[in-house]
Amino acid sequence: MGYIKMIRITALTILGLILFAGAAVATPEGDRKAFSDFYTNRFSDIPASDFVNGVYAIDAASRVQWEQIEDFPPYELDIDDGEVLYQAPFANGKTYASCFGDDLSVIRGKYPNWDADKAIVMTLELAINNCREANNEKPLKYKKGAIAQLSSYIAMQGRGNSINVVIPADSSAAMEAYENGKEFFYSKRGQLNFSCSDCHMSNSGNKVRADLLSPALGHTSHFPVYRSKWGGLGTLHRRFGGCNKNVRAKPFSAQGEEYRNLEYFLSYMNNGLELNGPGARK
Amino acid sequence: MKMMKKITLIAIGLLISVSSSIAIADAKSDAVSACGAAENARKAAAQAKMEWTTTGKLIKAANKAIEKGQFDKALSACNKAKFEGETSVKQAGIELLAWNSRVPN
Repeated sequence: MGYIKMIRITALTILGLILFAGAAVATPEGDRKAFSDFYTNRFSDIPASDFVNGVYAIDAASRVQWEQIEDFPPYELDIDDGEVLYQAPFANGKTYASCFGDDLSVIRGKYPNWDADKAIVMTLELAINNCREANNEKPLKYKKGAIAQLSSYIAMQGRGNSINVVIPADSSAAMEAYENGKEFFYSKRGQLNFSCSDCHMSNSGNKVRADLLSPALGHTSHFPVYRSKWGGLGTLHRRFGGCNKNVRAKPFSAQGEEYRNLEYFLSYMNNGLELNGPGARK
Repeated sequence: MKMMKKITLIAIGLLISVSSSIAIADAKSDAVSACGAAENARKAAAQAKMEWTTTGKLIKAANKAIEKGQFDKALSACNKAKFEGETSVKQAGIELLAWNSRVPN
């Protein structure tokens, strides 16, 4: 603990000195542009808008198979189930519309956002459970099942809208959440000592065993996803946990602060891209 | 003469039994102590938000080995777990500075 504290103080001092020296200070928008430029330079033949298709944007062979899968999407029944769940009244007679409003097409695009009252990053899945609890219903589990079905139904209605995550300029707490998510993305962790960026930035397009590593640009656009590996639908935080386990890092709780901040950062990096969830992946 | 022989044999037997009991108690104490240190290292890694998936598993397996009286196995696993916990904390310290170098600009 003492060691970490010492290093943290040293790191903050060094960062402070850099700022004092007048070095260029990164802004979220500057980060986003550099992030996007990294991928559009690395894969210069891929239009930026195509990164929402994940690994299929950079792998022509598997894209053909994926497009065939999307002809009869494996998540279709989940969307139907999600609609039933969404429209079904709670015990008090109200529905999800009492929390999210009547225009289904705009819900997905509102998340993640900075909830100033709670001073946290609010995600769609957390908002769904907040809605349930406000209506005296039990919260759902966060990784799969009903919450992923509800999320997929809402995502389907919001397809085609642009990602537009906002970090309120007047909120240092929102900025801190964004910075924490950014630090998480670039920090190596686990016994294998890999960061998210090691796989999905530096090595995107390279193979890890038999699989091609997808670019992080566009990652959040298509969740929840039906993964063949899972044999079902799962949320973005389920995927985060899986990635952490792959590098032998103990995963954090789905919808815990770490993954919500990571979602905030990654979604901001995708600003301007099209929402195209739910998706199908290997 | 026969009596002396019997007494000697009993004394040797007792000596062996007592010393092996002491050795077993020492081995158990070493293993338990190593596992305590490993658990502390794991907790420090968790506090630094850098715990590895392998560390807790090693400690769990070591505790089972202690129950079975396999103290050498437990000691080895917990020493490894302690090393992992300490390395995770170092990793957290390194990353506090290093992550920023990976941000494109």
